[in-house]
Parts: sequence; C-alpha cells; structure tokens
Amino acid sequence: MDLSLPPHVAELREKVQRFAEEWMRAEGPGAEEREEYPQEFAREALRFARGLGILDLRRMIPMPGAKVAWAEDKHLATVLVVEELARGDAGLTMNLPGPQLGGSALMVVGTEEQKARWLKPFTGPEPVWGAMAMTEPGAGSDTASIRATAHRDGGEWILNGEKVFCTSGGLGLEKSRGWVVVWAKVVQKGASGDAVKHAAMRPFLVPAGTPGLRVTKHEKKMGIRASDTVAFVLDDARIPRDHLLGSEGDEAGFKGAMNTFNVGRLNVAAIGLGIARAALDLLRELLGPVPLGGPLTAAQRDSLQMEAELQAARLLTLRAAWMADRGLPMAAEASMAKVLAGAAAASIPQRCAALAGPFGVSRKRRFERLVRDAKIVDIFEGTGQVNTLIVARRVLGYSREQLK
Amino acid sequence: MAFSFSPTPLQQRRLAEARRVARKWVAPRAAEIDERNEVPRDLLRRLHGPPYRYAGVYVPPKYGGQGFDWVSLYLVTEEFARWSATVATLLEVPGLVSTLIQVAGSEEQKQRFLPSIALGKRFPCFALTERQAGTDAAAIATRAEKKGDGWVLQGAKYLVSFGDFAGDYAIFARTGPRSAGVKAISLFLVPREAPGVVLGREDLNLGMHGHRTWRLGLRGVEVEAGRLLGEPGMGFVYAMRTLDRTRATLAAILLGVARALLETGTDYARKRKTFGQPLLEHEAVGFPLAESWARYEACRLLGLRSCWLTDQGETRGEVTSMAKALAAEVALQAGDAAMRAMGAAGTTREYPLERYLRDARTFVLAQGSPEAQKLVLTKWMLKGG
Repeated sequence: MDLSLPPHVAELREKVQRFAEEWMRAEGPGAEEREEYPQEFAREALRFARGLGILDLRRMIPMPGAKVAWAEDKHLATVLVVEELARGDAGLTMNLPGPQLGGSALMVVGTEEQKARWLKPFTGPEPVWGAMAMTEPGAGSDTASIRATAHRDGGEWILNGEKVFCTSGGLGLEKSRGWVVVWAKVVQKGASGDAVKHAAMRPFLVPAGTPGLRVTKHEKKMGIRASDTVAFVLDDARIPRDHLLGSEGDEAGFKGAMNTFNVGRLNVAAIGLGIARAALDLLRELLGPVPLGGPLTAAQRDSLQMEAELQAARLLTLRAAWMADRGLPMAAEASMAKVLAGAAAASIPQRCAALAGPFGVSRKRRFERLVRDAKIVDIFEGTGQVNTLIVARRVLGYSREQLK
Repeated sequence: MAFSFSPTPLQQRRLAEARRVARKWVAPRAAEIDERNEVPRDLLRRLHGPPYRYAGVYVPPKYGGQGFDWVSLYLVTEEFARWSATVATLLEVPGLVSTLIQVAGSEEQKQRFLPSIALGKRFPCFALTERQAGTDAAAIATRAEKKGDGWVLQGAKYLVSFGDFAGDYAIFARTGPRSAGVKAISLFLVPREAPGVVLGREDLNLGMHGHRTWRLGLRGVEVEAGRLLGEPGMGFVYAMRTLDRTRATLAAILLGVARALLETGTDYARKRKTFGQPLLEHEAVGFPLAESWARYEACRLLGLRSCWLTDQGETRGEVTSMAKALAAEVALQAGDAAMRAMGAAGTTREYPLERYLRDARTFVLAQGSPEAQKLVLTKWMLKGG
C-alpha cells in the first residue's frame, strides 16, 4: 500500500490548484450574479488547459496525439484536478470548455474516425462546448424509460423528443459551433407506446445548427448559477446517418451509457469533495485562535467531525479512481464514493454555514453559495438514492455484471 | 512502490493468517467469553505463545518480536475484532505498552523488558487513568518519591485492562509538584510481584466482557532506578507519542465490530423475506445498511492511511484521532442500521448482534472519548493543519 501521489499527478494537481485560486475564485461571484458563463474566463481556461496538453480540463481528455505523463493514472488525476477546480468555484467548473460528458460518451462508444472528427472542433483557438442529453421530463433516474426516438429515413436519422437539464447545451448549440450527444431509442417510423419502451437506446451526435433542434429553456437554479443548463426539443431533427456513434451493428447502447456514468460518478464525487473542502477551509479561517485546554465546544466538535467525514469520503473516492486506473471493476465502489461524497457535500457546507453564524448567511461571503452549489452533487449523474440502491444490491449479492 | 491501495503480499499473508486464526480459534468461543466475562487462559496462550506469537507483533525482531508494520497491525487487529473485540484487545494492550517502552525506554531498558513481552511470557498492562483523572491526565495524584537510587510509588489507578494477567504495569506517577502540571509526570514499569501492589475488581461493564478492568493500589511500592522508563518528567510526552500511533488500532477494533454488526444484519436481511422479497430490498431497511457499509469502507481507508503514515515515519496524531473518532460513529450507526434490520431477533441472544452492540457502545470510550479525540484535532487545526 502506498499513498504517495505519483509525482506527475501531484504536479498537475498543484498547477490546477493555482489556476483555481487565481482565476476561479475571482471570476466565480460575478458569473454567479449574472447567471452566465463568462466567455473571457472560458478563453483563459482554454489557454491554461492547452498549456498542459489537455483538450477538456474537466473530463481530462488530452489533446489528440498529445502524450501526457499522467495517462496511466488518468482517473486518479481527474479526481484530484476536479476537486481543486470545484474548490475554486463549482459553477465555473461545470462548463469548462470542451466536449464534456458528450466527449466521455464519444470516447467510450465512438469509432476512431468519429472521435477524430468530432474532437477536431475543440482543437481550435476559440472555446467550444459539447454536451450529453439523456434526461427527459418523464425519465430521470429511470434512464431506460426515455421516450426520444430516432428512425431511419434514407441516408438520415430523424430525431424526435424533448430533453431537459442538459449541462452546456446552450453553450454547445447556441454560443459555439459545438454538439450534443442525444440518447434516443431506435424505432420504425411512427412507432409509439410499447415499441418505444422496449427499443434499444443509442447515442446520436447532433451538431449546433441542426434543423429541427430548438433550445427552449435556460434553467434558473438554486446553485451553480453561472453554469449553463438547458432544455431543448427535437422536432423531426435531421442528422446524417453516420452521426450514430459507434459502428452500426454495435450494441453498445445502454451499457455504454452506464459505463460513462460509472466513471462520471467519480467526477461528481470530486466536485462534492472540493466544495466541502472549500467550506471547511473557510470555517477554519473564521474559527481563528481559541483558548486551549478544557472541554470542547460544540462548534469545535462539529468541525472536527466534518473533517474526519470528508477525509474518509475522499479516500474512498481516490480508491475507486485507482481501481478504475488498474482496470478493476468498480461500479459499487464508485457508487459508494458518490453516496458519501454527495452526503459530505450536502451536509458539510450547511454545517459550516451554521457554525459561521451571521457570516453563514451573508451574500458577501462564500458560505451560503457553497451550500447552494453543493445541493446538486447528490442529485446529478445519479442520485444519492440510486447509488445507495446500487450499493445495497452489491451487498445483497448481485454480481458486478448485474449491477447497473 | 507505486501509488496503490492494495496491501503488499506480506501484508496480505498476515491478514490471511489472522483471518484463519480468528475464525478457527476465536469465533467459536466469543459467546462463551461474553457469558463468563472471562478470557480462557488456553486461548490467551495460543494467541500469545508459539506459533502465532501475537504478543510480539508490535515488537521489532531484534527484541524478540515479529515487527509487523502498522498497516499489517491494522489489518490483523480488525480481523480479530470482527469475531471478538475483547480478543482484539489482547493484542492491542500489549501492543500499546510495548510501543510505549520503545518510545520511552533506553536501549538497555528495551533489551531488558521487551523480549519477555514479545514471547508472551509477561503480560504488560497500562495504568494512567485515576478516579479523578481521565481525559485531564494532568490531574493524576499517584506519586513516586525518590528513595536512595530507587523510587517509592503511592496511589491508586483505575480501569487497568487485564490487570490480573500482569506481568508488569506501565504506571504514570507524579515525580514533581502539582504546579508543574504534566511536566512532572514520569513513567514506571512495575512488576506485579512487587510488595504493595494490590489488585481490586471493577464492576461488570455493559460490553467488552472478558476485557476486565481493575483497580490497582500502590501502597509504598519500591522499584529500582532502572524501572523509571526514559527521563523523569517525560511521561506525558511518551504517552502522547505512543497513543498518536496506537490509536489507529483502536479504530481497527471499532471497525471490526462495525463489520460484525453489518455482516450479521445484512446476512439476516438477505435471507429473511417479507412481503414477498428479501428484507434488504425494502429501501427503508436496505438503505441504512448500504450507507453504513459505505461509511465503514471509507473509515477503514482513513485508519489504513493513518497507519501507512506511521510506517513512513510521519505519524500524524490528528489523522489517527480522526480515524478513531469517525470509527466510533461508524460502529454506532452500523449497530443502529443492523438492529433495525433484525427487529426483535436482534435483541435475543440467539444472534450475536446484541453482544456486538454492547461491545461497540462500551469500546467507543476506550482510551479517550470521541470528544477527547477531537481535542487533539482542534489543536492541530488551530496550528494550521
């Protein structure tokens, strides 16, 4: 057992920490106030990432052809990087330029030719965004029940449906020449009801400017307000046949999505860890010097309990990442990490704000924003409850294959 | 060695052996130990003596021990605790005192006192707490006065674990004025045979039966100079340095009990069916267990990390304190989740659940309440962490 970070990972983390402290702390509050992702910051983030040979800083996708020192420890590096970014500012972390979760889907499911083609827009000088669209008004945790459809019409796919809560969708479809990976069920034209329900789901790459695609809503949120979250409709939207990701006979489908989510869980856990870390650091600054000796105050007791919880959740997350890097199956471990990191994110900022008294509710300080930002961690990319269910099933004895 | 969460092959072997030994020799007798409030002497001999020699795992080979690294100590301790927290303390108490001797003693003292401990010949006990002095160690009243080259000890110690198995007692006594506070506390190793050493019984505890705690009276006990370990006035420092390390094994014991609780509760909930499906599938039952499992796994890593740091020569008292404090919470929550899952069955003595619960509740207070652990942490945090 050896818990010393590999040097190239430690080095990368330090650089990101500095970037987060210098840029994200400064830009965060204003962006949140305006509820808009700042383009100037996006350019700065792009420059920073490029300097490290990285195409997407959040999902840690290297520039095509670039050799990065941390390639073998990619998941470990990702957790540590994302933790520092979120510690800097969670809202700005959500939409760092790059293909995002859509990129993860592309990398897992796409052919080599598709990867090359669809990553190319991100190698230019301007920030470009990708996104992934799974959730619908009637389908959240129960991803199998999405209703968006795709049917073939000659050399094209026709897509119909409605997607909600799509992170970076607006940035990808309206603000840049990006794209969205839309999950839809492959059916015959005119299919409905059971035929849709039981159809296989596949990922489709839908570029900005596709006829029939319309962004309908920019979500106003409790937290991560600078972050772009949209709803859009597909109304007989047409895309070329080769926009179906993966080779045609490929049954990647559902499993591919779930694989994306497995590793994505760690990414989200890292965000939770970073937010909780920021809150505890702030609290520590505030507590200041205290007379030593004698029994503990309730505030001291609470702050130390939180520190222990956070460190334990962090180790669990790092271990899951390490398992992913070693190619070990880690669905249950990833879920455990997300459960605990999500719980830490949900409760630690709130408890810190409570202990901070009036400072905890003041808009001039970061405590209350951390509380608002943290809520989503236990929800997106797999709720705490769903992840707990996965852990429960593992404990029940379901095989790793049976675990969703 | 590269970044890794896997134990080394050596650590794996030690873990596997402990698992085997615990299952074979400890598990079948755990209930009996609890019922009789007694550790059978033959079990003690089997664990401490050849071939296993668990009495010596904290002692380096040069003094006759097995010299386990701290990660191995964690792993082995948790395995024993899974079946009996009391038996796990049969490793932990000698471990505490043999570590204390290594921290405090001169080379000559280490050579003199460690081998008989390591070989299981003399059981060492730890005597710090007094009736009026628990967390506030500076309030101890037992004193040692110089007499010729040696010392005379007078006072009374409380809650001395396994007092009747001694061997020797590591005793903290005041060698200077009250006004000097903790700086006037010194450490002595007192043999049981010394005239004036008197052992008195304690009350039965809620849990941790068999882990009997004793009152120790010292009535004009004379000891020679060589039995003052290290330097006078350094007793408290030696204790803190020792406890900063050994606290991690307390976390291991608490987590071993947590695992016992969770395995028992989960096993029951997996097999028992209600409303047509396993109890565990009912979210109100399954979720608390699943959450407790996640917390157990996470806290275990914290405990292992604190041991790994010691192995790197970088013991961090705040990390071991965190691990112990959190392990206490984990064990209690696990008990709660398991008890809810088992319902009435959990309260009967047909299942070991109620014993694990009693053990968890009792052991949470060992070597400092969770509140005391957090005192260590506060000081660290205030120094800037």
